[in-house]
Amino acid sequence: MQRELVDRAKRGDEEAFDALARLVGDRCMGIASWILRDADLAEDAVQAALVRAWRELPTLRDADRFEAWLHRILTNECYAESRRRTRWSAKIRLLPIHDSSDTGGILTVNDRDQLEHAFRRLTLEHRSVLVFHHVLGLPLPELAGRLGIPLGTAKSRLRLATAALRASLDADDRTTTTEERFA
Amino acid sequence: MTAPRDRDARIAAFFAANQPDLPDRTFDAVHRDIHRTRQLIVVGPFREPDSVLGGRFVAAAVVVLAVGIALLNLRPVVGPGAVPMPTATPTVVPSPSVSPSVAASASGPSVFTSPLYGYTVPVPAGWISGPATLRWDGTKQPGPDAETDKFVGPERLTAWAIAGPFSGDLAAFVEDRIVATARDHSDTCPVREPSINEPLQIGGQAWVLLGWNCGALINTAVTVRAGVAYAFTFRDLAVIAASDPDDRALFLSMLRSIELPT
Repeated sequence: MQRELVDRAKRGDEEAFDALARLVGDRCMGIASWILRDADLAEDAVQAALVRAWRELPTLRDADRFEAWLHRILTNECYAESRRRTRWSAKIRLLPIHDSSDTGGILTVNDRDQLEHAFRRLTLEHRSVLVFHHVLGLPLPELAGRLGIPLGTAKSRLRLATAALRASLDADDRTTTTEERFA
Repeated sequence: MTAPRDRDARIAAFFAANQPDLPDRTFDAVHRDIHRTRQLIVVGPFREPDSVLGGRFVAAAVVVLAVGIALLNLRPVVGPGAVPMPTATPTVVPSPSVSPSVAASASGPSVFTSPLYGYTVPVPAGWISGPATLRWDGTKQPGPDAETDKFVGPERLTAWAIAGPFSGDLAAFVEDRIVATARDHSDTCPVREPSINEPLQIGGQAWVLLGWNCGALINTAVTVRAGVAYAFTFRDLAVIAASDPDDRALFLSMLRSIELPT
């Protein structure tokens, strides 16, 4: 179905593109929310990405690659949106913190806070690699292609970003152990 | 000390948290934006094999020759079948205007069976169907979104369908849908009461056809059968009325062929 919608949208069919946007919009919102960690910014980035995708759709060669192509546009729009908002406004609406039941009880509230803080300290480029790897479950070669970066860069960013998250958990574990020792 | 595997499990769990869906207002904004945004058109192939480089050189030479003739104010004979000369390199330029495609899919009619809601409906030739990915919660009056089976037609036609348990009768469901439409679509459809509220008999099953003029034609056919309510909506963005003879004929032809689960 998606391929037919893409083909029709490439010919200027707005309804087909609407349907396409409905099919992929929520997943795009998930990606943008993860990368930007701000609901308003994420909405703006997805809107900009979809409009840009509409405009540039005739240049897409392989309709089956639509979503991968859109994700690359979306990632670039996330970077641009973040730069724009940083420049012009300090207003942000942070995403709500999800309750621990979402994570099957593996995460404590402390873990989540530590990971959230560590994740927010990462650059957008490092966040993107983590999101495409963990949220979309992409292997590194596909991830690198979708982000438009060399495989080596993708590997390096994933290693550094993962190390930062692990370090945040280690720091919290050490603090907890020390507190327990003095309790 | 925490084992590395535990850390990675916690990191994986962190990324498993759900994120918010894209709100309807953003879909609406995208719809408005693309209507105002011209698509790029690609002049020439995306990529040419090396073997045509010679041909490209010839084409470029012909262009130069044609320009030279024009400058010399000579008038070469151009036949009716002449087409614009392709540029030597792929170029992307804004199109002067883009209208919605009127070309339908080449595929013939097919039968759509709803994976979530269980009914079947023949899909007209040229239409594309897609199943709902979320089950309808029984409250809101959805547009063509994740809770609806979607049918995208040529021109500016779209249809979508929902189904769900309902304890009341048909009259109650009709009222429920009118209230839900006013509640959920007052921003784009300020008309609360439908202009059409018409009972129908289709294959021995009682239906009600509702129609609104929301700046576009919105027709919804509803029925209740065996404790399950069904709502099929047909939208024509090209018609600013609650009713249109062609749309009515097409919508009724789809409804007459629907088979509801027993």
